[in-house]
Amino acid sequence: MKGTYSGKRREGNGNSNNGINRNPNANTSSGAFYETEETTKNFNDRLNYLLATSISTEATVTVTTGVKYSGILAACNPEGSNGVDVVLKFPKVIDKGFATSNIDQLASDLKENLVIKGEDVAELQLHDVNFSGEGKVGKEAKEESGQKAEVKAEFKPSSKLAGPATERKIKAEFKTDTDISGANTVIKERELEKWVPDDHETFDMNESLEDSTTSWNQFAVNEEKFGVTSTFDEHLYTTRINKDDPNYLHRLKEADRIAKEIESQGASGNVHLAEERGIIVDDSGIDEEDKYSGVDRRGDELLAALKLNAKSNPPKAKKYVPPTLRSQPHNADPAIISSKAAVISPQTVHPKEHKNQELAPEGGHSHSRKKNQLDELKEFSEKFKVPYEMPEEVKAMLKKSSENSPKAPQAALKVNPSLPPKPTSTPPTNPNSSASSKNARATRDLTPSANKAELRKPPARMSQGHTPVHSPSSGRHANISRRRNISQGSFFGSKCPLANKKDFSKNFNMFIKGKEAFEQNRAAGKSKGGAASVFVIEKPYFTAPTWFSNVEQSYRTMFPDEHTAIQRSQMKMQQRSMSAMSSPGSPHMMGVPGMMMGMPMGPSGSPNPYMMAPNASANMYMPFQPPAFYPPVMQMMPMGDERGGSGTPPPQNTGSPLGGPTFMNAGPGGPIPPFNYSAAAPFQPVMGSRSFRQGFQNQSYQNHHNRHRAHDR
Amino acid sequence: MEDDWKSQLNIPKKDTRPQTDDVLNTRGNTFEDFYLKRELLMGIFEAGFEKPSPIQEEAIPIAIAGRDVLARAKNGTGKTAAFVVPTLEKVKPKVNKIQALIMVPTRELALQTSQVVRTLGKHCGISCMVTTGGTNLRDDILRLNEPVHILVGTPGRVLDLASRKVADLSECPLFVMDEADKMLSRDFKAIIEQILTFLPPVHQSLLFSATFPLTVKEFMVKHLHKPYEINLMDELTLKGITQYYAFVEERQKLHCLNTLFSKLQINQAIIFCNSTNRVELLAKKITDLGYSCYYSHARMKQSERNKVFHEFRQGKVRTLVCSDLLTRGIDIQAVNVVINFDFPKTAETYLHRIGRSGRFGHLGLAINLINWNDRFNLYKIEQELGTEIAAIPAQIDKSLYVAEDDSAVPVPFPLASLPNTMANVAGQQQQLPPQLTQPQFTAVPQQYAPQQQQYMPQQQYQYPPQAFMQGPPQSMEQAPSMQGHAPQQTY
Repeated sequence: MKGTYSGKRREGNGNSNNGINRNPNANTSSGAFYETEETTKNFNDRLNYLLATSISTEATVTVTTGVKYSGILAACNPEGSNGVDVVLKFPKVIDKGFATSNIDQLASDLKENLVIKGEDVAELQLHDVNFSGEGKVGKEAKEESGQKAEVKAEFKPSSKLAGPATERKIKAEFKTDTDISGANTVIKERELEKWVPDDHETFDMNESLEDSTTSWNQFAVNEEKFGVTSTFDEHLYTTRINKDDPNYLHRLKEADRIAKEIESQGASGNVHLAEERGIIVDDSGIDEEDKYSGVDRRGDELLAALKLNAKSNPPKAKKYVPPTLRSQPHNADPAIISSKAAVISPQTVHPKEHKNQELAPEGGHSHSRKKNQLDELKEFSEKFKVPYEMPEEVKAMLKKSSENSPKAPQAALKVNPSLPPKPTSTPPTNPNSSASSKNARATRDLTPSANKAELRKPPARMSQGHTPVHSPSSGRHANISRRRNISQGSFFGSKCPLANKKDFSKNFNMFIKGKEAFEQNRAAGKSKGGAASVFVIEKPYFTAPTWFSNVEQSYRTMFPDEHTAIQRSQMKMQQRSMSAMSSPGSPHMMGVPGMMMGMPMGPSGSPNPYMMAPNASANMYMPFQPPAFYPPVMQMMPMGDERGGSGTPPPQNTGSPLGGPTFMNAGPGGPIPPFNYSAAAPFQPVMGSRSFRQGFQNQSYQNHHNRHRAHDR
Repeated sequence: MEDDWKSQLNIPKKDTRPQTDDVLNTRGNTFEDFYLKRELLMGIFEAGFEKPSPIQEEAIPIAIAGRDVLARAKNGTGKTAAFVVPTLEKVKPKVNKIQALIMVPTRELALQTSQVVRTLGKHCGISCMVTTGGTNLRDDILRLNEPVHILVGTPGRVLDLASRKVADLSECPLFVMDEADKMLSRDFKAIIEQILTFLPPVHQSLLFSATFPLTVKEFMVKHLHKPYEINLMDELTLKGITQYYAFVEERQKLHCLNTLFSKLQINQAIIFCNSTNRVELLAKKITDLGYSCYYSHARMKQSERNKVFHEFRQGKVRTLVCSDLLTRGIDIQAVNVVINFDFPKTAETYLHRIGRSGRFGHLGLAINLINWNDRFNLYKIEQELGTEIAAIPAQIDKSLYVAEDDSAVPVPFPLASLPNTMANVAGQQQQLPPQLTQPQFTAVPQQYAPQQQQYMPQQQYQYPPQAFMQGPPQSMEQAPSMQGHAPQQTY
């Protein structure tokens, strides 16, 4: 509690309206309740502090005979055997109470100091207590002088003392603009009056500014047209260099050296530093208002750094976009930004990339271009760090999933909603995951949109691959434009077969199948992309970003190597099974102690953490759902039970696969309830059953599929 | 006898334009009440200052007493002088160290602040150096070889110089931040905090701004010692500024602007756009319409920016189109109209933009072109400022923004007082339009060189010896106005 005081002291509040009013009855009852030693000590400390700050202020003491003395508190002894001993200076009698002698008589007995023993003190009133520990200054003093605070303090600590003291209002804090304007929080909309040009007026330049683009020399034009010349001389403003100094040459050299040194250092991500050092940074995400005038209203340091890396709109918009409509970095999702921040040296790659892209005609299969993109992607993936901690299970699952369908995660990155999706041909590696990998690939877009492909912002796995990208805070513009910037080639490894026409058509049929299933969805969604983008567009309001901003971790911790992943997943599997058995019929996700972060099902190696129900029907189309990227969802997924949830925003619960029977029923495998749907059918774990696991996994896709549909409706 | 020095001053012609309570609502103190050194008083009076404005009245004595100050006052009510005066008072010309560091967010503002320091302190024998990015770093390093008492700069460059020990701040007891809310905004704050590590642990801080959209409590707790808070604002907008909006389509904006140009009686105008590209394009259009016009934004070369800034302040061109680079702090007294060609995002930007007109309590006009997409921003900013902006009427009353007599509007560098720069020496003065040659501060050529040796003889020339040599400036008890006023602050 001391901290509170000292903190307030620093704020310079002369506060005085502390009502520490304690009922004398509380005193007698204090013995009734048990207080720990520490509590007692805290209260004692507070009392001591109160008394110490009150010394030299006015105090009124009522003694047991009822006589009230007032005077300046000169000293007191809280350690007294029988209460607090008090010394009053210049005492006066203000109430004679039950005393037999009259006031004058009592007063005549008083000397300069009056010592009142603890046992005689019935009540001690302290006036004008100032906890701030410093003199009042200026206006504050004026404001407060009128208020007389009365503090009645008791002699023995009791639990009441702390409460009011900490609740003191912080007064006279420095006012912000809105404090001054006294603005109410409601934004008032009103009809605006249209400006109408005068009738007789003709104006031939009825065009917006961007309709003409010519660069011009303002000095030349103004001098020619208006005779404006310049008289600027920097010595009007700054000091002169003394060139006559005998050491001038030496100094010049030295200065040159230091200057070079300074200018050669980086700007560590700060636009202002970069500007001052003459480093050209890409600051197209921030305008000059952000830089020189506006005050950043976001509170988080991480975002600030990341904001610099967020670049959402192309630097030169052809048409004027008002600031409100620009995808502002302010609004960008931390995940997107952070993944960008992880890219270390994008600039170095750009020029090359651009050139390559220009050279490569639309649709050209330039190997070198792809190679470039690939290299860059690789570099990126090595440097990329997921900015939050990932539960062990997820790591395991991620690993496992990439094993099963190695291309799926990249596919997720590749979604380009602006172009029709085209599939590639990679034979499924695993019968169980075939559906997923095919569909995943289906959403991939192979059309090299050279114009749009910008590698400046290599996409991040996490941000592109999973739904939290579309957190409520991120505008749609931002997401879409960002997606457009994803390079087509970004997701192909060098060994990944390049799509040729034949493969295209072959697989395209596959996709069409899936497409049919999704036609409805696609029509509903704004995006022109495939399933994933529909999903994406629909998704934003289901998931809030929940990650911890831990950017320190290497991706390696998140994507463990194959071996450990398998080991881990097996362990988890066992764990899960055992726990499940130990409490059959209970809502699993909730009750299982061995599960971390609500991801009990993870270990099966499914690319999808959501798999819920054992179901063997594997042959249906699964809409692509990027594996490996649900951590945030998982963390906030309160086991499909909103009531049991840990206070996370509810919206995504509606999308939780654990949510309800809707999607279950839609599954072709029949109405098999999810295992966690305890009321319907308690899950019977089958230890080590491979078939179970597989079926399980498939079902999970199915659930997903159904889930999307349920949402899109 | 003691008053003789006052009769020797070159006091500029009085600016007779009407002023509002924003600057007139004082307690009636004079500059002499602050017990300033005489050289400083001379500079103050010769700059045309008559009485301290409310913020100056509040802040100067406290700052001279050594307290940390956190002050807010409206745009253009004299904040700069409110920190420059105590700075000049405290700096000792004979100590060859940087004794005050003034930080501002933009380079133009650094130039302007330095110019105010030099104008007010021209008799103090103090050398004030500007250091900002965009200029030759080597030159700045060389400049620091000479005595520098006051360093004005932008944070990035100052940090670079301080961290290389080129600028020695170890004995700099005074740290000043103008536009403190921006300086403590996240992007600058990191730099500022690094700079603070080069200052001595015990130093005085003066923080000034017109806006504080967010609380700066964290910084206060961490870096300020018992800051004396001054808040002279019970409303955000200036009393002298009339605000209107014109609700237009985007492509009507130029048309609307043209109408404004033809209808309004513009002395000087600043037009704000939201992108650098639009700044250039609009400026081009305006010259096409037949109005002289400069533009400025951060993507230009600094030399060009300086030129534009300097010439516009001198009144060489009528209009300036700029980005938010020049939103804060820029003081051009002759500006009576500000046009937001594009509407800003934040309330503080809006407030600072419109505060470019109506300087020092004078009258001004702010016109916002609002398009369909801007309207919510308009509502939001109205809400934050607690005002409602009216639609532009067909005719705007001239008395709202046009002064009857603007012949005495102060110009930063009256031509006659320009130093013996190459331009002047070459006799180019005659080429300038005659209407601009109004001497404002002094008719005597002013030497801006830092060297005191050159400076002293010149002063003696300028002021008769008996006036100049009389006693130490501190012995000012005889100043007549002293008798009437008890010093209001006894710090």
